[in-house]
Amino acid sequence: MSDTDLQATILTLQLASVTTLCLLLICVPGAYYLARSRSVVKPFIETLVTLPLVLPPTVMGYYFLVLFSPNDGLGLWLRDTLGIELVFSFSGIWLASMIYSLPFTFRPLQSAFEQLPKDLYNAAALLGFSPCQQFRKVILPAIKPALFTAATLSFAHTIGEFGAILMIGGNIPGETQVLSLALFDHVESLDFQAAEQLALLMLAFSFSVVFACQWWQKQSAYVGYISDDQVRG
Amino acid sequence: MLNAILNTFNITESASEQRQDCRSAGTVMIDVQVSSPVSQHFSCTLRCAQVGVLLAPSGAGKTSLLNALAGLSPATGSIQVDSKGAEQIDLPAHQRRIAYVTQSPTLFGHLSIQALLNLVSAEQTNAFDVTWAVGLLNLSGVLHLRAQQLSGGQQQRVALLLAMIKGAPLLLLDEVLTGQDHTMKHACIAVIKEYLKQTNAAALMVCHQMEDALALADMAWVLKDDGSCKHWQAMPIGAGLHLYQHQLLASFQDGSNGGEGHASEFLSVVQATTLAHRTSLGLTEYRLNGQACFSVHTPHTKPGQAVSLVLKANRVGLSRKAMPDSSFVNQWLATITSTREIVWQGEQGMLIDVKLVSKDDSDAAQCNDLSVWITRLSFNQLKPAVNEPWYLISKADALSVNSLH
Repeated sequence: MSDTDLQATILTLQLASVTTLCLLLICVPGAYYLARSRSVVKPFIETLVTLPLVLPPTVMGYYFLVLFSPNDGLGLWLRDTLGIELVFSFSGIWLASMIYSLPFTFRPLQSAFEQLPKDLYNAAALLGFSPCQQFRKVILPAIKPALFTAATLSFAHTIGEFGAILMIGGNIPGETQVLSLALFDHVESLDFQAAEQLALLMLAFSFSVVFACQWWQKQSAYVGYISDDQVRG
Repeated sequence: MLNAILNTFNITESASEQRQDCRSAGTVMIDVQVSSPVSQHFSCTLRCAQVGVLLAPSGAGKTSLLNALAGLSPATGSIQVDSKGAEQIDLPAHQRRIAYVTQSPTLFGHLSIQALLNLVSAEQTNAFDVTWAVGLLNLSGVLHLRAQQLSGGQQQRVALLLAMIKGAPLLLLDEVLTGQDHTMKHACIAVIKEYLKQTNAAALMVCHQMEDALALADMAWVLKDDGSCKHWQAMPIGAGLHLYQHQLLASFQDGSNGGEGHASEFLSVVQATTLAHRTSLGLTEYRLNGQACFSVHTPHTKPGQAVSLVLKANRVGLSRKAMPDSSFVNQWLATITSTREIVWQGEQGMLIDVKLVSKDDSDAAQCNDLSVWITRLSFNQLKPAVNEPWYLISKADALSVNSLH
């Protein structure tokens, strides 16, 4: 593996970790709120959150580029007052990944929160748990499988991202060139051996993530609903 | 006849006496107004370890009242659960010192029962130790399982344990005994009684099985409807049951009853005094309005002790003459006060109210009214009429004995 490929691998892992962590921090309270909310704006928020699933990444990247271009508007203001430049930078591809992977984190969490029995909050309150303790000691442990799914899916999905990063990040080795872009570069320059390596690496990774995810979910369902005797017998 | 009973028990006086006694000890004082979904007013004073039962037909708002007391739904008024007089009504549910076993409890399904008990114990500042009750409630074998793997009855017993851990001065029980089989019902009753004794907590319960109400409660609150607002009236358990059953009967007849209860299983509660244990005969003898009365041997009653005897209407018969050569050990002289025909839910028969004749002046104050259920055929043959003297006949095992009151 060449130095640029190694750099791309490290960058990709960094991007995926930061994105996943930030997404969890945002989505846990967000999904919790939305699952319990009966507000009229709920369907709109749900649609917005789901949109990245169907929107071509290039469309999203295009709007990013226009919005954050440092020549005018918001991009200009961000650069002049806060010193942030989003286009062709790590923070740019980080923001794009956040939005691109949002539904993969948000949806499992929201459905997990919605599947909790409505009375769970009341039951916890009756046993003396304050709303904060309810969340920490009852709700979060109860949705642990969904947290795991959300984290793995968004991590894996960020690693596989291509279009949006290409649009807003360009393809700068060491700065914004992630694995999928590096693979694209190798193919463009007809270096099929290097391309093969990267492709195989990513295929193996994706396979093991999905496999682990399914295995773990089956495992936790197993423990939950079947007694030990049945398992042994 | 109803008014006669209520007057005899002299509700207002006994209630005010209680209030004075209780000031010193841990006392629960409630006076709340609930407006939705059913507008109702509930006021009660419970001594420590006292159990009250709410008697009303389904849909009358019993559960909404308990929810409001526990803080799950809004109510106005005052709830005080101890002598310090801390007002609970302004507190959110999790801060109220009220434990509540709901009708279909939600347990945390991601934990084993043992982990759940540990979690809740760790949460309380002075958790009540319930390890003694785990075995009694037959839960030792399921502590490693999760809630989803438990039967409904087991889940309810776990919920009872969890509520007890809270050690609150007021325990609310919503149909806790309904899903239990015979053995477990008695285990639950024993555990609840022991818990109340140890913690001095008071309890308010809702139940539809009148036998269960009798086994635990010593006061009843019956829902009375005066147009705009329903209010709960306090009365001794026997009178409360009687009034509630008459409400049910009335609803049989005007068709508003949703199919609750059986007229033939109408329960009567009478006050008697234990006389002696006839161990060699397997009987215990009582004095009931000066008349002899026998139940199967009940070792837990002491001679001289006042007891409540409970009889189902269909386990008592009528006879115009005494029957010396029969296996009916109980033959009490009584006067018929009313007869009425009941056709309800496939049951057809006559419900006959009687008043026991008093053969002893000291017992004259006891208002011992019973109801007897006989078939249309017996009624046509015997032609019992109001104000006639009749013998009530029953076997010893028709009586169940409550020494609680």
